[in-house]
Amino acid sequence: MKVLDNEVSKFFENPLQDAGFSLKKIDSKNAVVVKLRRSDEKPFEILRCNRISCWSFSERSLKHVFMENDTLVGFAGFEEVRIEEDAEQVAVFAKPLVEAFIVIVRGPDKLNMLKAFYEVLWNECNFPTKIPKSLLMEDSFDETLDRRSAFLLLSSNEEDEVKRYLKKGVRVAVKLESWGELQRFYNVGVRCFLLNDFKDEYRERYADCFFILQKANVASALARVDGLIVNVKEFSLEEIVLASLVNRLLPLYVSVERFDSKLLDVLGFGAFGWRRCTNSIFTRIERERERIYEISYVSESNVPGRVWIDVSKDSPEWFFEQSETRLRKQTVEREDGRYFHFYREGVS
Amino acid sequence: MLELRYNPLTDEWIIVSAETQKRPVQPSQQSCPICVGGVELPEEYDLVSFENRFPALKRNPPQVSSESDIFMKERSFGICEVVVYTSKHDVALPGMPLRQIEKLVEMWVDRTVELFSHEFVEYVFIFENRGKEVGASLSHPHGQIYAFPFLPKRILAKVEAFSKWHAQRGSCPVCDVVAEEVKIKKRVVFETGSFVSLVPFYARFPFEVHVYPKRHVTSLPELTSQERAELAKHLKIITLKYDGLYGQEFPYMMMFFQAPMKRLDAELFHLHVEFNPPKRDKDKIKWMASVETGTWAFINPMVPEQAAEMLRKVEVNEL
Ligand SMILES: [Zn+2]
Ligand SMILES: [Zn+2]
Repeated sequence: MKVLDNEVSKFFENPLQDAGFSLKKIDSKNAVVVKLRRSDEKPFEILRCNRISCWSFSERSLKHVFMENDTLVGFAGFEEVRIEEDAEQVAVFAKPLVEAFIVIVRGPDKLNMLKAFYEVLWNECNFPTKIPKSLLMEDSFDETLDRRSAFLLLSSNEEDEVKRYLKKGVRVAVKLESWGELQRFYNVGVRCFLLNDFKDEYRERYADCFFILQKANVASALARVDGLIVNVKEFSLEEIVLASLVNRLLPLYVSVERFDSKLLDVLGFGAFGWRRCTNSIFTRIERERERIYEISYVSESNVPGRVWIDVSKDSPEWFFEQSETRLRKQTVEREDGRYFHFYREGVS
Repeated sequence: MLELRYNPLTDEWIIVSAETQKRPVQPSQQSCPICVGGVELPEEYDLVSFENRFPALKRNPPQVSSESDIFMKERSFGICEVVVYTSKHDVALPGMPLRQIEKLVEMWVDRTVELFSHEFVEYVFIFENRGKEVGASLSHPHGQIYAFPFLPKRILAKVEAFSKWHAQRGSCPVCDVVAEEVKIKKRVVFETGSFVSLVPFYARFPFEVHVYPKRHVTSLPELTSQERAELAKHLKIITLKYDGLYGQEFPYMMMFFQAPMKRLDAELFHLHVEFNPPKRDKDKIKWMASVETGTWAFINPMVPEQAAEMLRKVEVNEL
């Protein structure tokens, strides 16, 4: 594998000096961070690897992580990402945004290298953690339940329809056809937008908004928007598990088609067209052995559960704990706006 | 005034909450605000957790702007809750029926899940101050929860220590300590199938006790119902032993350390409970003074193995 035209091993040896980038070694993670700044140049080659031995995600929008043997190269903060493949090699061309990072990690297995990659982005590059919100369709929306926890994605951009829901206190999301619409719907009170293209200056102007990109790659969406819609149809079970590691930094919104929504939920994917149930920040993924992952999670009724995923098989194996929580909760809002949570015995 | 101020000398945030100065002192039971019929809780209840009337952190804090790029401020996002363990005024954790403490653990689990679900919450800290020696102003059995918008300094120190240990040895320090302690037994105070309570090798306070789950779990919600029941039992046994030590109500700070779940390295953290009691003898208090406060260095006047033996010897027969 070559990064910026240098063999990756070089980055771990003597400090490479180059005017174009700065380097930081993170010994505890066996990782190196290459930091680049925006330039006016055209996209340039950031990575080149062997097509046969290289592993990456099947979905194009997730192609920002490449693994070959014991090395992972991942990047974030680039635009105009272009992947060129021929029979022998894969090459990635891109152009840095304001600040861009190439992270090189070495380690014994895919899961741990990916974890280290995202930890480095989080710790060293200050990419903030994000928690996805559900994007519900009109037919699955329950006003009594969903006002605080989800956005209602309207099928039409009819302004009267939008206003009607906003008046009821529903948090509305709309799909934008053009930037002009953003200002118009913002003025009406919409705060969640699905869009095809994103400009950084809008982050500041619409600081209280929630932006979800429809057509982009992770490398250019990380730390800029609040979510990315991806198509998991082509994903293998293993790719689903590994892609879920992205979720803490950039919620990936998927609709349930081929996969069990429970699995997507436990793995913390953004709900697009269905309701989130679990508390996915409590989910942990461990690799039991080659091609077998164990996922532990906390269910919507606060009970721990486990899922086994053998990537050579078709479906996950679920293990539930028998007992349910024995407390019933009732939340009351006092006149001064304070919440009181009463707990009593009995299953709710 | 309610705001966060940045201290560049220590790289930490200070919560300025002038309202907490008005905290009421409750002199008698008649005016207990959290008894049934009290000012906070006029209705019947069993257990309740509610937002503090004078919170240091709020879900809707006032807007602030920094004085300059040196004197930086942030809004005081967060939630401060008062956790009422029972409607009975005259008991304390050691005197509560085990079943009630089990329900309390379930309530802490639910509070942890709910509080972490707020966008602005980075850390959920469950604690109890018992006794006037540690500043408890109310004798009705209760604890508190602070849901912080940042990672407090000592929590960060723990997270970094777990990470360092993991990088150097590939394991978890609590898992390693537990495996050793249950073998040598000399610092163990109480042990069950899935938990061990012990005076740690590295105790800072004379009768400090830590409660460790034997399995590597990062937070309360991950405990199975069996483990939650065992945790309740440990809390009861340890506080009973404390009260039995000198035959008097034993003041303590009880603190739950869960992983900062939103961090990507949260899984390295191992859930634990710390009891930090200020007593060094029947009538002697070990105060947090200059050395402890200023440097975080502790001088423990008690040999931990000896403290463990004293606590082991206290007989409790209420179970
Ligand atoms: Zn009372
Ligand atoms: Zn552990």
